[in-house]
Amino acid sequence: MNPRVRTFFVWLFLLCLLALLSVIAVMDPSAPTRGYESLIADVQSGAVLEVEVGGDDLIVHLRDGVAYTVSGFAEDQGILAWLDDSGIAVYEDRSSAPWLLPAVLGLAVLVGVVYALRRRQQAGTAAGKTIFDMRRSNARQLKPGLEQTRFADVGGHEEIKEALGDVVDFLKEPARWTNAGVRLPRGVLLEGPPGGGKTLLARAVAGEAGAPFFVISASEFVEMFVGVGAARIRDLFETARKVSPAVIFIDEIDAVGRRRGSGLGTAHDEREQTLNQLLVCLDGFEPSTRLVVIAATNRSDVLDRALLRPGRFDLRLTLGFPDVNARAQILKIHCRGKPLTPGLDLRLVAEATPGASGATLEHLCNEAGMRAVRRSRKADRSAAPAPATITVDDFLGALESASKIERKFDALDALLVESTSQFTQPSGEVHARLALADGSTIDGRIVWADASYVKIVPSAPAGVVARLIPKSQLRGVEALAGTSMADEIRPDAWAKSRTESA
Amino acid sequence: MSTDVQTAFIWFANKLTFWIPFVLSLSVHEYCHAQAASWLGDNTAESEGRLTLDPAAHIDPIGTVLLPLLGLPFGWAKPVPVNPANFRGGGDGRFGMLFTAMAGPVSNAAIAVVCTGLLALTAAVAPGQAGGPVGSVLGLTIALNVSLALFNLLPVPPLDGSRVVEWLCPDPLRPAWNWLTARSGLGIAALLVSLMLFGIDIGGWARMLGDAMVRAAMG
Repeated sequence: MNPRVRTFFVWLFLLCLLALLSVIAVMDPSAPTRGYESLIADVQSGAVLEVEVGGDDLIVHLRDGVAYTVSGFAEDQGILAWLDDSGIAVYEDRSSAPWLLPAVLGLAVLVGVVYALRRRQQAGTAAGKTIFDMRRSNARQLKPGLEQTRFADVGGHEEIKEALGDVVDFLKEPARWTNAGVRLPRGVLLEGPPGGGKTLLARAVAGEAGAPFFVISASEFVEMFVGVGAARIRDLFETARKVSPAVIFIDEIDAVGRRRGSGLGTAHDEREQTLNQLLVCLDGFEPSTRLVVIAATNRSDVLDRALLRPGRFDLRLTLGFPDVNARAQILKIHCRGKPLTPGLDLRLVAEATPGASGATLEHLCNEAGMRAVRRSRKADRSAAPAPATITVDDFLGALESASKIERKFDALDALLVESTSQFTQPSGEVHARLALADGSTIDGRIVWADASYVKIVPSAPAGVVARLIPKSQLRGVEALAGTSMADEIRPDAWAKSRTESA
Repeated sequence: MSTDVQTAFIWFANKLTFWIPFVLSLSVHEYCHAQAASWLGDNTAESEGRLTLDPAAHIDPIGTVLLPLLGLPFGWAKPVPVNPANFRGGGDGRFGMLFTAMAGPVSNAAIAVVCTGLLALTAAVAPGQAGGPVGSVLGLTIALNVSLALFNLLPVPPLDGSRVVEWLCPDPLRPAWNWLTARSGLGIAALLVSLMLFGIDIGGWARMLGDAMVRAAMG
């Protein structure tokens, strides 16, 4: 039953009961306690014969033989005067009510109860939590409306946004889908490299759907004791079901979703039990329950097959690295509210950052902003401080530091470093054409390469001084001149490479 | 029906005519705490299912059921949890705690005032009822809520009134205050003992105030 309706009926029931009982209580022949107002009404109607004062109470005797008690007049001497004025006989009861014993007893009971409560509380909080609290999942719940992220805040990933848009619509208007006999995915698995925007997309789903959003990292399920993880999963689904439509987001699901039977001995019992419970819960909810589980991982290769079968996480969305257009969009999103130099083309930055993830681009924008502020701070302090504006150079500088290559290496460049243990200085000029993962090519002069990066000075466009290309993004190197050195800058062996040397 | 059974039944009816307004008033009191916290942005109470007028959510087995039915003029409901860290607008949340705490006693005062109005209405429309069941229930509810409001305003740690002290407490005295707050059982026991010793009867004052309201209503 709807809690509000339930509350209403509880109140209605209690009030009806009260009405009934109050009538019975007033009918009491043995003179129970009545309110002050009875006494006033009875005195006004002249029904009172006499009033007896007993301890704190007044015992009212009516002309028709009925008697009742009015308690607690003690401090109000005014009422006695008023009764006198009304011509009612008032006399003192001989046996004053024994008040001391009940009071002492009452106090003893109270102190005992408070003491017992404190003991209970201390026992509960001594270890911070009781052992039974472990069984509750510690998922954080975001209230609907609190999450401000929207799909518009996610750059690129157009197909993925469309697929998730269906899920959002399902949460909002299930009738449209169920009428067509369609069952929407209960589970969405977001996979892709770190920093690709998996968490951001999940938050955007929550923001768009306006539904309660439960966030938990899968590693939070696993505990020392077998069975705790399973209990936490049950608790999470139970809680979410109560407030459905809701979204559950399980981050880094590979922590519990690892293929079963891969551990040695029985050491993985807890994890497997947790996974089994997760499988059951994903199956379990009734078709009418509007509950969507979104899981994120960058290790989808180690996930248990049962987790990936249709009916559980049957929508698998892979978030790759963004292409040039997506990068430009992402940069634009992160540069909102940042003072860009008028005429600064973010596309230029996007083109210089192949293989950068969304997180890297976000870092890049922040770093560029920091550089701009630093520059304006160091500028002439006597003059009025000029507001910081971000230039292309800030972005390129940020890019270099983001690539973990410090400016000092630029200085080293000039010194013709001979060590090859850390990076390779091509022994001669190498003009090469690099083929990148996103399909574009760069012609230029290779300045140096290390284990992870190639630095190239492109022949075009003229404005770009040098670009750092992660080797993982290289798909081919075609040496145009200085052939002997091209092998030194081969992409990493594990990259899907088809290196050509001409 | 034998007289004994009848007497027991009437005794029980008497208890319940007190207990039902008591439980409903406490529910309103705790609900108002939860609602006030919710307005300020803290939904700790709501997530524990306390943002409701449903008495079942607020009943404490000992403080709400056992003690009052045993006839002790004392009782309590489960306290509503509030986390000042969630309050909007920053600060140390002291004012928010004050606002949240005051919502309870204010709600009881409001109930008392509304019931006084109802009693006045009853007295005007049906004078016979004012001395009968309706009047007796309303009078009881007024007295009950006045004493709830007054008692909770006492500035002793577990009670709502302690938030006023906390709000006003100057920083040098804060450690002492925190020490007292951490021992809320001590605070309330000391309060009760001192009330007994000095013969200060909050219940009596509440009754006086309640009776004054009843008399005002009855004309």
